[in-house]
Amino acid sequence: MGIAELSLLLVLGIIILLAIGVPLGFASGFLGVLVAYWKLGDRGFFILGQRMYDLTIEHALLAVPLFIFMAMLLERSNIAKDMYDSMSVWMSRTKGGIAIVTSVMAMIMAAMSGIIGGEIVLLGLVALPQMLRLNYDKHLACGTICAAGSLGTMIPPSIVLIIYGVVTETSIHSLFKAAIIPGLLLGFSYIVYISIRAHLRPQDAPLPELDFEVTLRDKIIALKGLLPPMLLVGAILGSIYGGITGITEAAAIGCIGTLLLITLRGEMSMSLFMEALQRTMRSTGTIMWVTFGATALAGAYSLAGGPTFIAGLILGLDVPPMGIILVMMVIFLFLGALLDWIGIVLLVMPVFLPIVAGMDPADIGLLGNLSPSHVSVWFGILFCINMQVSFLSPPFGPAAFYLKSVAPPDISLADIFKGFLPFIGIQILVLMVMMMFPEITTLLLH
Amino acid sequence: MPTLDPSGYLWVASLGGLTLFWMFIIAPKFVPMLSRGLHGAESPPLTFVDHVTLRISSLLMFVVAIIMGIMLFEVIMRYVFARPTIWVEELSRWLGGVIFLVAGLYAMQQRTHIRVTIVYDIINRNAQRVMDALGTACICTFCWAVSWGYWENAMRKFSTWELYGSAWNPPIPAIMKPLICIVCVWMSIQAINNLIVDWRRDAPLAPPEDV
Repeated sequence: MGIAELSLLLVLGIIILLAIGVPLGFASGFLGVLVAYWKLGDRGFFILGQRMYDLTIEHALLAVPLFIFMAMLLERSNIAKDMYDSMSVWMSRTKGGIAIVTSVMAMIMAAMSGIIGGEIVLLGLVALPQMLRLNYDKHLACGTICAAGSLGTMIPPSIVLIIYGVVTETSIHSLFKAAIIPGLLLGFSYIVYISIRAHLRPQDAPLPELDFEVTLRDKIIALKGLLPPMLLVGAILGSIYGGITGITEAAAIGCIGTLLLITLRGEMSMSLFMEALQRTMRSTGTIMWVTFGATALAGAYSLAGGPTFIAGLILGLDVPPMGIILVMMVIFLFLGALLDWIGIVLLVMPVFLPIVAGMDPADIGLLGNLSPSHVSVWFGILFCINMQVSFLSPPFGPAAFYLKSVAPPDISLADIFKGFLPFIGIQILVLMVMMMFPEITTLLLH
Repeated sequence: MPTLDPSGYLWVASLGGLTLFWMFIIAPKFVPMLSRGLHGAESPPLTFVDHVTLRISSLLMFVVAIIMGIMLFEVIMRYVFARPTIWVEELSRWLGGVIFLVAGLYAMQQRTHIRVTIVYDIINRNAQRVMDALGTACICTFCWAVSWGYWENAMRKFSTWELYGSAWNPPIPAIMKPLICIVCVWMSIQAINNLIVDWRRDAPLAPPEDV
């Protein structure tokens, strides 16, 4: 059996194993064991353990449990709800106001934490009932919550970028800088889309009927609710971009800040603290063991010469460099609909990134001004935008399942996925812009 | 492995004693994962294996809070007192490794490892049992292959008490490599335990609601 047959069998194997309900991490780990045995016999198993060991002592990965812990604390506090209420006061006379507030709130929360599950659940609990009460179109409401909620892994700090940085040995700091413009661009595109839709089809986003006048005084008092989240964003992003701390330490500072705020607000209790810790442990275990399994498979597969084989296939396509990148993006979109993003980073990046890094920077983008040292940063950003699509794309788009878990029963999964369509369109548009003009991502890098 | 002098034995014994005291006396009263059912009203009785996993988790879940604390300490020492520590970076690396590994056991006990249940949800219960058995076989193969292949190396690092080779020089390889093998073996035991518990039930156990 050659490497070509092996690659085909692996794709088939992962699909079958996932279909019979084997957990993703163990399915890929199991295939890793088979590949290692096929290549080296039982001596090959050493590689699996060694790759696991390298990941367990990786310092940058510590940001993962810390950001999860922070998200778990925020979820149990009313900080997010107060922020939502105060912004609603400001936007109460704007068409599509509540949906815009939801997007802005999602962007602020994205700048506090780097994971999406908690963010979408929270928005589903806080913003969805409001929008439905005002008779918003349910597709628009679901789409806004999930698309904006997914920005958690696009706007820094972002766990996707942290793991991409660890796997590809790219500076996470540079990735975080490069992600600012694309992240904000995505968020503002959603807002523009919502306002255009609210103006063209007012029945989709009706204005609330207020029985009182909102005065300037009310608006200024309402700003109070914005203060705690802004403090947190300032502490975390300030520490990172100000060069005061590394990313892991910034995550720790974010946790401390959240604990302080919760205590000051009188919401702190022993059971809140312990429940947050225990849920952090559960989520950390879930994420890390997917990573362990994927790293085992990636290690065994590259030992068997897989990456070289795939690289040869792609380079043999005889298309210009941008055509190759386009093919890669399509592969990401396809895999993203089926696999978890961690699996994709670990399995596909070792194959794709060397190909992209080997291209002449003059051939990348329409202008060709990308500096060679920034290629891996730019590709990471493209990947990150791609994963935004994967959170929303059926059949497994996780954002839909997070929202479904808190949505009223009359909103079906099909409704939720239908609401995603325009937002997926926007994401692909932004992806194309970033692909054509890589310079945008590196604007802040100097 | 280093030899201990009498005061070293005292340290180890008292730490061990405190750990047991926490796990068996304090934690069952206060830690939600031990004092409350895990899966709502229809929570199955816990087996011995579940108890071991949960009691260890009830202690190690605080590691994340400890990492948070020592990192704050480091930032304060660095900027307020201009005396950066040498041990925080390495200790957090070490503790992080422990939590990454053990958290997987807790996730396994809670059935929260990411899986696709689209087919699983529509087939009948007996077919689900077959699928559970196949899944457990995959988990065991992976875990045993890792421990089997890594055991010799891990034991060598443990017996020579290999240090990390840094300024503070903690025994990270000597501890973490055997730990990988131990956690993998326990992971397979927990998976088999889950298979037996779920096999007897009329409906599969769902992950807790608040995931």
